[in-house]
Amino acid sequence: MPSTSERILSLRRLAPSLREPALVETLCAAGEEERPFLADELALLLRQRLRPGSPLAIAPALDVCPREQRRCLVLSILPALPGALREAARAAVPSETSAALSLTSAALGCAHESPAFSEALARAGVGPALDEALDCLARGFDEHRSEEALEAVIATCSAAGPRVRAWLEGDDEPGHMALRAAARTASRRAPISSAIVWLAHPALAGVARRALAGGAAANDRFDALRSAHLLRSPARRRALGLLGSDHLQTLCPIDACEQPDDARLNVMTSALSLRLSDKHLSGLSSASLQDPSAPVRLRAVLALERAQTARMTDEIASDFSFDSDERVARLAAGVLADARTVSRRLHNGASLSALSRSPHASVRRIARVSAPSSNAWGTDVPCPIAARLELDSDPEGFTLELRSRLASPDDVPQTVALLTLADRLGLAGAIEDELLRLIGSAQREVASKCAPLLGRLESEASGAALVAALGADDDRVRANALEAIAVRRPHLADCAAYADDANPRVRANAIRSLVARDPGGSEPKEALGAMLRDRRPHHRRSAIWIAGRTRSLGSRTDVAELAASDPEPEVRTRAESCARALDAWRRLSWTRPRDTRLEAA
Amino acid sequence: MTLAIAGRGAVWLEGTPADPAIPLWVWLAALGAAAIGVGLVVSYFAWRDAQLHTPLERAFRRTARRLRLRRAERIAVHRLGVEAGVAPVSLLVSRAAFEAARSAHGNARSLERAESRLFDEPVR
Repeated sequence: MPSTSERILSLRRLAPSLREPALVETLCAAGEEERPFLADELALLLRQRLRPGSPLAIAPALDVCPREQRRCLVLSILPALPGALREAARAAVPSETSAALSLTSAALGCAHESPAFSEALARAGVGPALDEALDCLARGFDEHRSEEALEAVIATCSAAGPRVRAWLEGDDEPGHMALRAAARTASRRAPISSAIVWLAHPALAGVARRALAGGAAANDRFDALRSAHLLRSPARRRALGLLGSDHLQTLCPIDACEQPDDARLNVMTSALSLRLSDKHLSGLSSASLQDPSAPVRLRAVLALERAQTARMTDEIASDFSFDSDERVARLAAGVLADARTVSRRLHNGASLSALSRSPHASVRRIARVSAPSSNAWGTDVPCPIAARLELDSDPEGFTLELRSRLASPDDVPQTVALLTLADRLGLAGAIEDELLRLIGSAQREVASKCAPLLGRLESEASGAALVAALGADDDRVRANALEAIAVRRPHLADCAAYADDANPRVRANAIRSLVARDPGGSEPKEALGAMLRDRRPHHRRSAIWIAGRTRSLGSRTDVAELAASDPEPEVRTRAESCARALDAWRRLSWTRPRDTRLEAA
Repeated sequence: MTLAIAGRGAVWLEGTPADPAIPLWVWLAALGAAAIGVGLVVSYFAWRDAQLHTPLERAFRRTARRLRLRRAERIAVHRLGVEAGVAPVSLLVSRAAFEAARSAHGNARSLERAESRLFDEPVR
């Protein structure tokens, strides 16, 4: 009996123009065992003689080919593939549309299976052709009504090219409704595995949300979370944020302990990206305390960091800070050390003290640096908590010690730290003499730090010192003095006199005080406009800062102009940010009672 | 037949052909014209074949001829392919396609012979 290959060889005597259709038709009708031989024969023929129309002619065979042979066939037609795809997609004829779809799905399927093949496709320039073909097919849906085209778009939306992406993000595309229907069908077939990918595309986000929020089985939800890392994308987070907190909590259940490592990790990764309640975040972290996987515990601590339930957070972080994994313990110790309020820091003090005996060097270092000292003056830089405690217990003694230290400053950083401490503890009045002396210091950091503290006082001497500081040699001292005067004691000096100062900070403080004093006035508006149009980049940057701080909606046009055409990249970046902030403020003001002063500004 | 050279330089074949008045170049020209005529006729029939039949049809006829199917067998296989909605040339190559089509649409004796010839005898 002649073998299959012998019968196939009998076709070799035919002319190539007859062999190609004969092989394609035979491949479609042949049995599973014969197809590899036929496909190899067809690939051989295509390598010997490839016509521009060959890709479309063999398209029906690609659907039935075994995987390996399909890859060979696509490689054989690669040089003619881009042109054929474009031609078929533009033709809008059902047979050619179907052929284009077969080619597209075969090429994409092969690229998905093999990175090397994907590179070969990219080298042959097939990517843009695929993008164009899918785009044409999607836009021409009303003509060909092929759901396969939309299914191909859905299948490739995670790596869509610019044209398909534009179509997906379009507002009023006729095919979007059919796309959503196809996505719903696909989501019923292969539950919600692609839902997170779809969230990035407005056309599919609704279907994805419904799929994630619907009554999917727990396993399907865990399957969907395999793409949890994609939730870092703001667009996806925004889209998913429209779901209620109940649905989000269902997506990240606390009782996932029985799931495999990957599933638990995905749950915690999702929890970090979603807008979950603090209570749920704390619950998730607490449930992960005993988790065998260190990456899961690490994410649990990160989730804890996001939760704002202070006391509960500290309790759980304290447990995590004794973790056997150094990264987890270090992160948890950081959460304990970063407590802002005095009560929390006192509460965490015991844990941080205990952590000084941690087996991890990095954790011990955090504990040593962050543990509240019992003696405020024991270190070079005073501990604010210990200082507050000491001030409460012995105000006079503490003030005397502070004054004596300021009277004989050892070095500049320590003096600045002492002045900062005095500022935080509200002791500016108690150290007025030292401030009056130090504002004339040759050290610019010290002198500039004294200016805001003197601005808090109301004595004549402090006012005179501030006015004198306006004539200081150092610009930073002048700027701080002017700011202190402008904010708290505007009667001391005429800020308008500094509106043309050569130093941008001094000038900005002066104009800011003018705008704050008279938001609708023409003089501040002109001064700000002139500064925004200044030829010096530092001045323009400071002017943008004023516009943002004073929410000067009147300068929105100038700021937008800077954002569009300023030669300095830094100025452009700041201007863009400021313009966005002004726009947001304008929108916000629509929902509030009209503020005529701001509008005038 | 002997070769004779006349006084004016012309070459004559003595004996046959009967009429020695027809020169050689005329014979050669006639031969060329006949070859061209045959070529034209062949080309015409090839062109007509291409116009009348699809590439698949032509592939079927040539392959069937090469596989030495008889006329009746060829007609039976072609009819089977048309009835089964399969290209007839596929039935000549793929045993699975032939069997599937035959089980659904054909039980003629000529098909049995064709199957035997196609799949049970060595290909020549």
